[in-house]
Amino acid sequence: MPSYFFHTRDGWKLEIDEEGTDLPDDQSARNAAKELLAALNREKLPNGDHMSLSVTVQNAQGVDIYVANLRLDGASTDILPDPKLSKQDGG
Amino acid sequence: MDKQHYLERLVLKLETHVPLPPAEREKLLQLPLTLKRLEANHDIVREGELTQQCCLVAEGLVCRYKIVGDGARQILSLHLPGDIPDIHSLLIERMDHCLGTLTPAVVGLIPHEAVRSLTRASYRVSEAFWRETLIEASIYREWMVGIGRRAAPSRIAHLLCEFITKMTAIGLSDGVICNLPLTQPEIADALGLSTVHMNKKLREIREARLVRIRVNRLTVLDWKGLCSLAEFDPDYLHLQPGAAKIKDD
Repeated sequence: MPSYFFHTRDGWKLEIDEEGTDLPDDQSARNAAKELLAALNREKLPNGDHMSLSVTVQNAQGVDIYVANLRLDGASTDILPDPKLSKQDGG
Repeated sequence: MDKQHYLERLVLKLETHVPLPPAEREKLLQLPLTLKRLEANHDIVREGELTQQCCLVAEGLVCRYKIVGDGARQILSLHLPGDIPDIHSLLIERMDHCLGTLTPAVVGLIPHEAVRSLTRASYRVSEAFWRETLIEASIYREWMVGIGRRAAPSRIAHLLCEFITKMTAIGLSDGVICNLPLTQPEIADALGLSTVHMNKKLREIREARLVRIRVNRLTVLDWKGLCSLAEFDPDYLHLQPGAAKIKDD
């Protein structure tokens, strides 16, 4: 089975995969990349409201075959009050 | 190796949980055993099959597993020499999961009739087997907590802690170095992780210098650190104080 390398970027932190994982074909590697993003997302989520994860899949020849990004922007609604509502409160 | 040696492994395994009187030990050593040499990834008993014998792991690594709809495998438990992973088949004859080898293995088949007459003749042996299944249930609970609630690095560390602790208890490791004949997809299947995710997190554990893993060999570099990452407390394994426990350095 050919090897694929899954390099990840979490914010500014880049992690180079030097060992690789054996997978049957490109399609399995693309699916594995998406699965990896979903799993990393589950791990990161409790830590904050912003996250940007990406994974680049490289084949054994060193050619990038797939890139996937995942981004989260969350904000609490109570610190972003609706201006109309706050006017009413004031008056 | 001869049958006697493998039955001694069974006795040793039972005695990691409770000491047995010499007479009961002797009875266990008299059990009839048919040895079978198996390749890696060979099914010993399949889901749905009826069995009339129990399988003692004599050499190698055996697992219980289930395959789900899309073909993914969940490894349910790992079994080392001395284990009888299908002892429950004495009372529940139809297998509700598969039992298969992960490495080349030698198993010893013991007819149900022989085990049954032994357990009927000796309540201590009967209790010893009962205790085994209870402790296995305790291990399942721990795995359930891991798969359900622990983050991937902690799950991986927990498996490594458990594996080397069990290997040490049966005298197959010194508590620092142990044979770990599991491939990365197999570890992933035991932890409910994808192989790529598992590889990435295992690399982080190695880069933190908690363990070294080279060609099927696990070396613990920082036992305290590994246990702390895993939240590993060996109480659920219910080992006798006499059974080797890994000491903090």
